[in-house]
Parts: sequence; structure tokens; C-alpha cells
Amino acid sequence: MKRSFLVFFLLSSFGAMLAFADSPADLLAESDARRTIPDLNFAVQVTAYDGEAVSDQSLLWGILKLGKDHNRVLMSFRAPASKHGQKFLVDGDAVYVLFEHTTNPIRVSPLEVLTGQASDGDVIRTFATDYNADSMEQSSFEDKPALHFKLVAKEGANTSSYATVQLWIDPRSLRLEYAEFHAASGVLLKKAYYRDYQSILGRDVPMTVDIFAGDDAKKHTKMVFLKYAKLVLADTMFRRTALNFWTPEEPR
Amino acid sequence: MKRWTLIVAAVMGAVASSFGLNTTIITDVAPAAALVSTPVQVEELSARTTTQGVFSDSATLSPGLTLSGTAWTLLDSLPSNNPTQVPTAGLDFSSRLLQLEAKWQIIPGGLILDVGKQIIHPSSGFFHTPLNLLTRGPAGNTPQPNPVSEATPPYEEGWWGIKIIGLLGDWTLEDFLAPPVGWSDPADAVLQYFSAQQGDLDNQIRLDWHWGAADIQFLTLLSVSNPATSSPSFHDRSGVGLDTNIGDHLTVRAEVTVSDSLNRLNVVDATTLTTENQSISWVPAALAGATWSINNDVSLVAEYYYDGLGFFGDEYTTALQYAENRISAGSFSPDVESQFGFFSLAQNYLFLRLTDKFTDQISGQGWTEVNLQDASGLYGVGLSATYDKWGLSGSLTGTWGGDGTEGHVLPFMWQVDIELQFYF
Repeated sequence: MKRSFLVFFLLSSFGAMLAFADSPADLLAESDARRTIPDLNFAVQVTAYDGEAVSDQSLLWGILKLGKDHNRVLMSFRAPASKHGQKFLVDGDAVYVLFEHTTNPIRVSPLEVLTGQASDGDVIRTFATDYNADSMEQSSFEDKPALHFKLVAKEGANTSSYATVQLWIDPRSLRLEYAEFHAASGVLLKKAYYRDYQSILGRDVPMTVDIFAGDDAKKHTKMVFLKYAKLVLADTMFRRTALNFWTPEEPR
Repeated sequence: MKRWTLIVAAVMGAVASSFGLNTTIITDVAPAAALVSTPVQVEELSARTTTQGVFSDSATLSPGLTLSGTAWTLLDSLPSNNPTQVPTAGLDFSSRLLQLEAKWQIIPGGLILDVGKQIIHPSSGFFHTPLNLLTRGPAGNTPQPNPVSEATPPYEEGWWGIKIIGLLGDWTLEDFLAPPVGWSDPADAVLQYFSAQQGDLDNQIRLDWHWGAADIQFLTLLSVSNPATSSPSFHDRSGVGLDTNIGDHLTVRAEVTVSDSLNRLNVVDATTLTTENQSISWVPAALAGATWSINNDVSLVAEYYYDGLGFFGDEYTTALQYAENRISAGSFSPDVESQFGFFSLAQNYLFLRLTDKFTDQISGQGWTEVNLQDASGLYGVGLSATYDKWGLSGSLTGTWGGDGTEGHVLPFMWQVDIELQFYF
């Protein structure tokens, strides 16, 4: 018990030192940077659960391009067969869908659901460019010390799907552990757990993101990243007009 | 005979998937009621059964160079939609190469060359699409769960041509040139199963600008009829479109086009049922609409459509009277009232659609299209379930409208559509 307390005290102290060494905005940006790989080619399996039962499952290939103002993500369904070939471009607030056998990407709402509780914007999410840190406190998460951030969407930010976000970040590694996403009304829309961190291409990346519905604890969607690789595409390929010319690739 | 369509579909799917092709098989049964002349006027019940097969594949030949193709087949029990005109063989077979193109990124992300048969469809998910300047419409004109939506016809045949695309920052400029492609009637007996002919020389220039949160498109289509003769005729159609998000919940869009001249069938005398071909200069068309995403599952679409080629005022009243008189005379073949498409005689329409995603697999929708000049309309409700390898959709479409309205002069009365899809 004493040892546990000592470990907790040391980690808390370390966290406190780190926290006071940098501003909340700096820590948030550093946390984003540590887990986000620029020009990332990924394969992700998205499984929606209703209780224990699998209600839907998809496999997507995608590419992330980090931007100064916001990130852009290209994605393509590989499974299920009924969605095979469907392509997406998530460009901040704008989401475009290109159905197979058409050449006209359609603009849809950023609220458009990918599957289950996962929206298009949940696949790769960063916070520092889109939210201001309203507060940062020493706290704990799952009996471990944590930095608790309260974030408010920046005015005119490109991803304002959630008016406020609460984050719990490991003070030592700056790993994102848990997040709660709220509407402007304060209603809890979803909760996300970030797990199974692995060192990939020099970054500390959560391989699993488990997203729970805010109003129904039985419903959750697990995103498991199966493969990561570096792939550089020109900025212009992350445009609506280029979606028809993007050929999805499996990470190698 | 119709029961064979399912067996043929299963065989087609199994064979195509064994070759590694992405395959979709859609069998659609659409019982409907329509007024027909046999030769007396009767309400006729019919059931059109169609089975479409779509087979596609793509390959990356080298970095930046891809080849892709899509073939389409159709077995149809009632291609004319008229129950008095059943195919002699019981089922009519048609097929097309929808698309076959090579895309080469000459400068990756900067300059792209696209050669072959291409689907050119620039608009963005609307109920009507004024900017869809170069289109052949849905292949086979098969029954649809939502028959009024032309934004994304399930399958559309492309155009043989060459396209060059330049991308720079927020700008994209492309030019698509489609030459006339034709052959003799004897040759068409075979080639019609591969491709439709192209009569005109078409050149479409498109400029896209991503401006802040908005996307703006400028298009112009120059068509040359009889280009190889001494008296070619030139026609131009140009337009601009815009769409953007307002917050997370609202997506708005607008399109305006103008055509230098278009032809229509005009009523000269509704009593004697006489018509004339009429050329109209500078014809505008426009659409303004919005999608309100109420939450992650429920959304409402509202769109207003204006077609300058349609009828208005006294001309509209005369056209309706003409259509009523034709029905009274026992004639139900397509004429003035359907020359611009289904339920499109007037100039002003409103479209509303509410969709709800009940579960990850099951969704429902209700929609209506209202003729704002006489308050008649179409309505539809539908339910669809989509799973990994298959899907099932059902819908009911009907009309309303009293005497002297467009809803009343449509031979179409109601339609049930049941669609079964298989994905391989």
C-alpha cells in the first residue's frame, strides 16, 4: 500500500512538474504531436457493438495529411462488400463522399456516422488546433494520475462537432487516455478510451479507440488500427476534385 | 420466365466473383398501376421485374497509372413500362460498358490525364441537377425506390473522350472532349451491347474553387451537332454551383445554369390536340436547397427547383387541358406532359425528404415532390436493410392531385418497389 502510494506520489509530482513546465496549450499540442504521424497510411477495422453482439463491421484504408489549420483524411471502405469502393474525404468541417460508379463527390454533414458511434472525424483526431484549453487540473484516471483538460471549441474552428471536450492525459507520457465529447447544450454525446499504445514510426500511437454512446452504455464502437505506414501524397490530392483520382492503398 | 432472373443473377454473380471482379447483382420487382389504352381506357396492373449485374475491376499498372472498367447487364421483363408491350422473348437483355478508362498522374497531384469512357457527372447529390450538363441518365431506366432523384442514378453510362485535369492549390481546372462516335445500323445490332453512340462533339470545361468553407463550380458545355458537315450547329450551356456547411447541422447548395436554346413540344390547340416544336432561347434552370442533419441518424432535405423550359401561367393551363383531353381520347403514350421527364411539366417544384437511420443496417425515408403551380404531387415511403453481402429495399410511390393538376394527368398511379441486392 505504501509502495503504491509512493509511486502515485512520484508520478503525481512528475506530472505536476511537467504540467507547470508548459502551458496547457503546449501540453495539448505536444500530446497531439506524440501520437500523430504526418502522411500516415493506415488500415483500420471499425466494429460496432450492441452489448456483446457485433452490429456492424467495416475495414477502411486511409491516409492522413496534417495541416496547419486542420487535418485532412482520405478513407475508402474495403469491407463490407456493400460499401466496397466508397471513398471519403474529411477536410475539417467538410466531409465528402464518393459512391462507387459515380464521379461526383457529395458534401455531407460532419455528423455523418461512419458506423456505430464512430463519425468520420473520429478516425484520426487532434485537439490543439481546434480547441482552447479552458482549464487543466491534476486528477486521476483509472486510479492513475492524469491531467484533466477542459477544452472549448475555438471560434471558427474547422471541426466544431463538439462544443466542449474533456480529456484525461497521462502526465508523464502525454498519452491520451480518455475523452468525453459534449454538445453545446452540455449533453454528453460520446466517450472514447484510447488504448494499446505502440511505438510506430517514432510516435506513441493508440492502436485501439473504443467509443461509447453518451446516452447508452451498451452501444460502443471499437476502432482497431491494423497497419500503419508512411505515404506522402501531394496536398492537392486532399481536395474534393481529386477524390475520383485517388487510388486507395493498403499500408505496407 | 421471371423466376429465371434470380437463377441467372446467382450464376452471373458466382462466375464474376470467381474472376475476382467486384460484383453487384440487383433484382427489382415493381408492381405498378397505370392508365393504358387497349384501345379503351383501363387501369392496368403490371409488375416489372429487372435484374442488373454490375462487374468492375481496377488495376494499378505503375505508380500513378491506373486502369479501371465497369460492365453492366440488364434482364428486363417490361422495358417500356407499358403492360401492353411485353417483350416477345419474355425478357429483354441489354448490356453496356459503363466505364473503361486509364488515369495517368503525369505530375502527381498536379496534372492528370484521363482517357477512355468516362462518367461525367459534376453535381452533388441533389434532387434535380441543373449542372449535370452531359448525362445519359440512369442505364436501363430501371425502377428506383425513389424515382424522382436524379442526383446519383444507380448506374450511368459514360462518354468516350479525353480529359485533362490541372490541380493547383484550391483550384482545379479540367477539360473533357468527347468526339462523335457512331457506326452503321447493322454494326449497332452487335455494338449496342457494348456502347451507345455519341452524336455530337462535346467539350466541357469545369473550374472548381475551394473558397474558405465553400466549393464553387463553373461549367460550360459546348456541343456541336453535325460537326463534320458544312452546316454544324453550336449550342452552349453554362452554369455555376456552390455548396457549403453552416455549422455542423446544415449543408446548403445552389446551382444556376443557362442554355442558349432548347427545344420543347408546345401545345397549339388543346381541343384539337395539335402541337408544334418550339425553340426557346436563353433557358435558365436553378436549384436551391439544404440538408439539415437533425442528429447523427435523422436528416431532412429541402430543395426548390426551377426549370425555365417548363410551362407556366396560361401555357401551363393549356398544357394540362391538352393532357386531360388526350387521356379522354384514350392516348397514354409519352407526350407533352412527360417530355422533360417524370412529373416535370411545370417550372416550379419543391422536394422534401426525411431519412432516419434506425440501426446500422436499417433505414427509412419518406419524401414528397410538390408542383408549386397546382399543389399536386408525388409521395413515397421506403425502408431498406443493408448487410455485408446483401440488402433489401422496399418502397411505395403514389400521386395526388385533383382535376386540372399535373398529378391528375399522369398515367402513373402507384408503384411498389421491392429490391434485393447481392454484393460479391
